[in-house]
Amino acid sequence: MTMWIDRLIKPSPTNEAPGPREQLRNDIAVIVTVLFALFLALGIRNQVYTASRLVSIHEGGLRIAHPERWVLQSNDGAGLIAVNLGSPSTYDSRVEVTSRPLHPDETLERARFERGLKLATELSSYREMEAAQMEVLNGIPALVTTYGFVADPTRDAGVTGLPVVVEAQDILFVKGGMLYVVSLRADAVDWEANARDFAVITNSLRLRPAKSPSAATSADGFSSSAATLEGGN
Amino acid sequence: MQASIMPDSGPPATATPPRRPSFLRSITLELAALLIFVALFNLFAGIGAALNETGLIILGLIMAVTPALLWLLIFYRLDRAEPEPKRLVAGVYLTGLLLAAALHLPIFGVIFDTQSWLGAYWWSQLLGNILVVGMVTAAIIYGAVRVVVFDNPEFDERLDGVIYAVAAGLGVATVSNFVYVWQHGGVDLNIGSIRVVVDTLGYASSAGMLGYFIGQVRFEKTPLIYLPGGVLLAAILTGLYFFLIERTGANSFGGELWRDLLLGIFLTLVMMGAVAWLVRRANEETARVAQLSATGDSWEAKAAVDEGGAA
Repeated sequence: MTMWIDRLIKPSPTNEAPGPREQLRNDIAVIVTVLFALFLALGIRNQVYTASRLVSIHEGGLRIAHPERWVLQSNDGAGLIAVNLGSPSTYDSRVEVTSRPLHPDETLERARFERGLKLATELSSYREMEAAQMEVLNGIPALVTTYGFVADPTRDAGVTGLPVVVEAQDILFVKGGMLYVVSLRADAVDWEANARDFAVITNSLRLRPAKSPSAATSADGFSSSAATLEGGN
Repeated sequence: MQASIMPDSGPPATATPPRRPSFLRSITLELAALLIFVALFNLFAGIGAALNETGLIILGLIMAVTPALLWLLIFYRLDRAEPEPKRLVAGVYLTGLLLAAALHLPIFGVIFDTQSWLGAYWWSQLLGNILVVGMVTAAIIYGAVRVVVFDNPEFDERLDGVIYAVAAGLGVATVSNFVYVWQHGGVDLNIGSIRVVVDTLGYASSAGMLGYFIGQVRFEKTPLIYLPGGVLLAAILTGLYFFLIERTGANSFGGELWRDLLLGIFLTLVMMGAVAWLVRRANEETARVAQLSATGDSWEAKAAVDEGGAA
């Protein structure tokens, strides 16, 4: 330690002044150091972005990841809610997973239709925008529905705040006789900013375009102006 | 072959050198001035309620610049024995400010998007503060000093390295404070005044440490890792400072911001005390090697150098 401090105080045995070459060498060394540090920082940033936590639903029936820094608010074995409490919006970005046994003769398309009806009555200003056929977990057919609604997150907290337009995406699929709905939601303004976090979730589901592509079906008219509470699947 | 610039530039050992105010006394004076600044803004915090957003922004911007100007003023006082560098100090300050203004958004907002990940975990906050905030700040400080004044004959003693680096650091602090005020659409005068002072102290004190290394490489041949080590040390100090402030201090809405201020003052005193000690010891070592008087680069006037005590 003493030697280090001595070298810090008197790095050279003489008092000889550095020449232009030494100064250029110092400049280059500083530039290399700074660039190396920034390169390291990029790695740390990517590490934060991709850090995830794996959660099991139905005792391993479905394993889904969410960003590690998101808070798991509930996990009852049949579903979960994980929330990003660091969201800039009053409406925290979240993922909600629900599941239920598939009804006899119920198809994925019909399940999506019924869910659309349910959301239209429960959510304020619900509007379905797009639906597409995709695949999850290496070949399981899935339907992805994009919609929007208006939420009032500050009301429950007793604070006066503006309602928020929420953008959401539901991923519906059937696995092991269970219908799973993975719902990604965020303030519409912050949707793009949340893309990286949502990718952690969709990547864990291995969400891919369907191998037999069918054109995305435009919204077929689920909408509501009901001023009911948002939420519920 | 002794080719030191520094001892030659000093007055003869027998002459009475111009008396220079103590470095630490100047720092203490600066801290007292900043405390008065905070106290005044807290005393008249009610003014803010009467202002609209534009008024708050303008007042906030004045508030953002004031700590830096106060600090520069105190350093002018410290360096009054050699009045020439004043315009250079201002030049380095402005260069640091312009570099920081030009790089702030591209680096922190676009390339690294620090807001989206820095505060996610304690380790990301610590490493991010060191590797991004600290390193970029150190690079700006070194760049500003290197471009504006490093080869200038006015840069003729180690203390000048500290002074110029602190000036560049204050330029970075000013931009940081500008951004804070602008993003918040003006600030509460009491909370804002403490926030800008705490930030200013952090940038200035770690800049002082880097300034010591800049002063060393200006006057001595150093090993290859010496200056990069100084840059790294300054980045670590910057990162640690803001990490400690953010983790142990109050939040933006808390009433315990004074704790942040006290912590900031304590850390500044420790860092600046270390810088003062290092510069004094470096001057003594140089004098011992050259077997000349160290009065040209000492903090306090000395009539003669005791060779035996310089080890």
